[in-house]
Amino acid sequence: MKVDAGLGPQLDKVPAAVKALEAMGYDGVATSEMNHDPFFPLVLAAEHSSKVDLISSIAVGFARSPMVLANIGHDLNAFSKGRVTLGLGSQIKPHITKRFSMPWGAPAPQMRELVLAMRAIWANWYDGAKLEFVGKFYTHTLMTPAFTPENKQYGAPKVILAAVGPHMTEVAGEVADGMIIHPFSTVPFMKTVTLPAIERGLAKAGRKRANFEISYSNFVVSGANEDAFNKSKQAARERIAFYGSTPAYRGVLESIGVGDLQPELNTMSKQGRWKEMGSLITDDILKEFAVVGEPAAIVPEMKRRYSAMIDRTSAGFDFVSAEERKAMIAELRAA
Amino acid sequence: MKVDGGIGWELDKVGAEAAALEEMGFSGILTAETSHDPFFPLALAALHTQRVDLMTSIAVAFARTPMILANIGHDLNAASKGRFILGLGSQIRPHIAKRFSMPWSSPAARMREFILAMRAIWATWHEGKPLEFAGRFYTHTLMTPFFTPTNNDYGAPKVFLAAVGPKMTEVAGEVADGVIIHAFTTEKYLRETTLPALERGFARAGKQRKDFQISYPVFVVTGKTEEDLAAATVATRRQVAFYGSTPAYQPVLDSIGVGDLQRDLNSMSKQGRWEEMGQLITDDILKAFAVIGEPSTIAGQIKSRYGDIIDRTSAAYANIAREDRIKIINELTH
Repeated sequence: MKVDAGLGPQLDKVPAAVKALEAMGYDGVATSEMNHDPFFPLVLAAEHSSKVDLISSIAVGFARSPMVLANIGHDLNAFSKGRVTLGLGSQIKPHITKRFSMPWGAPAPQMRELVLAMRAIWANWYDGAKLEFVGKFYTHTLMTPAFTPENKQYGAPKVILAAVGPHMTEVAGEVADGMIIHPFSTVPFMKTVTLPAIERGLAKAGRKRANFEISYSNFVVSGANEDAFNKSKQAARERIAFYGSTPAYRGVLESIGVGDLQPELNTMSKQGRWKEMGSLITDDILKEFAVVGEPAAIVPEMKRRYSAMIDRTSAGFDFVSAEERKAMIAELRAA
Repeated sequence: MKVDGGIGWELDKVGAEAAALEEMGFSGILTAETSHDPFFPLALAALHTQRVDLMTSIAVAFARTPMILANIGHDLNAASKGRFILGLGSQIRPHIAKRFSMPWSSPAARMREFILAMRAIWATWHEGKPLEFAGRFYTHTLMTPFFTPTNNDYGAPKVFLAAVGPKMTEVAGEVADGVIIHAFTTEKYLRETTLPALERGFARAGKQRKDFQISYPVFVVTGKTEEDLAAATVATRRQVAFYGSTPAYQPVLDSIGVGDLQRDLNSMSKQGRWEEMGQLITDDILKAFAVIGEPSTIAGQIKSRYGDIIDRTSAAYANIAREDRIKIINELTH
């Protein structure tokens, strides 16, 4: 499988960081959108690398107009000579309406339309198709030569969607080039919910699984010594408990028979009992979300569990030396 | 005054272009927003330059949300160590509604709120104030530490606003740090319409003129030879005629007593008679819009006409020799 690494938001550090990651053997570098623009690091990464894929994982789709995203995707893909993957996620309603002051409709249909709107804009720019996109959420009917990019050699970037529930997952299968499975996922959930939803989406569009890329980053619990291992374990348990408190993610807990944990975690989260919440994540539950073990055991277990289902993952492996990390990436990438 | 130069959109070239302009002595580097993202070239320029201001002139504000632009402004200002100027413009209704699929209404009032929303967001990030912005057009009431930038050394960028009419100009005076005046302007319009509107804005906000920048990219007609000068004259006549055909710009023509020209130019533009339109711009009209003459006279002319009004101008002077360009920049900036 392909292996990606995270790329931080500090712009002056990006040139050295991306060079180091490329040298380490990664297939791609990915930014996220929290307290910084997710695209600027990719502009600098494009300037200072030549092979790695450049991925937003993810940018908040509904915080932007499809036209602005189409333009961003075009420019980055042209500059990087075709290496860009525009990864989009919906965020949740309060963030879209109260943080970004943008409209929130029905997330899966709105995301479907956002991707189709970008594709209509790109078809107009690259193929000269008339721009007549009139949807329920977005309208794009005006384009003139002055606003049409000239540099069309590399065309549109890939578009992938982050999804948890079956509706958004099906939309990804139908209109996107791939999807990002949330780290809060289990093998049974993927087999019973995610993969069937992708198949339904692919079928709707008459597409093949071979042309669709599934990305998933499992939790990893490991460490060079017992102390580091225990810290890694505790951090993972608290993170899993945090995600598990979200009502929308109850289905994931149900996939391993512990759905009742969700309301319990939710109540505790409202009381700020974060440490205690982690203690509800037993070793058995932890193993469903995380690959747990000594450094040497991690990659073989990741491959055993996930290689039949996913096409790419992202892994920092920050618990080993740079040399060992390089070897682990190579091992993960090898068939 | 400061002198700005434009860089292009080709991302593999802008780093070197920006460094070359800095080397020539320009005070700032500008990007425009037409068929490309206006911020990406400046992200690259930030790491290829040390001194010059980096400015969008302009980015389409209403195509984006205040939160997105607040974040972009923060990031570019941090990366450039305080050299970023967020220059914004409204565009026009069809482009906002039908190209960008974003809301449009009362542009001056909306722009005022847009800038105030960004300032509220920056006050949350940089000064820890609660975010409680509930306006007529924009609502920003949710911010958590997770989404708050931590590299706050350089704070918020300056915000400039492009304006033609008196309402938008007054908004610039009130809530922006500078105004970008359209090239299609006369000295008379500047003194009689623009400056009073800015003063009204300053008064509303209790601001002083010295804390505000006026940027005006003067039309310059010059050339190395008689032939070059003649060619530049024809080109500028056409450009003035093109802008003059826009109904919203009629007051600028009114300022020099040729308001009737607007209707003629407009109907000719609909017939595609671009060459003829240029001929309607007489020498007197051209002089009202452009500084005309040999390279050695340009800086002096700009200073004597606009020196008491504007703080920065922008010019590429691409059709004259490099050493003459450097002389003009030097003369203007010193």
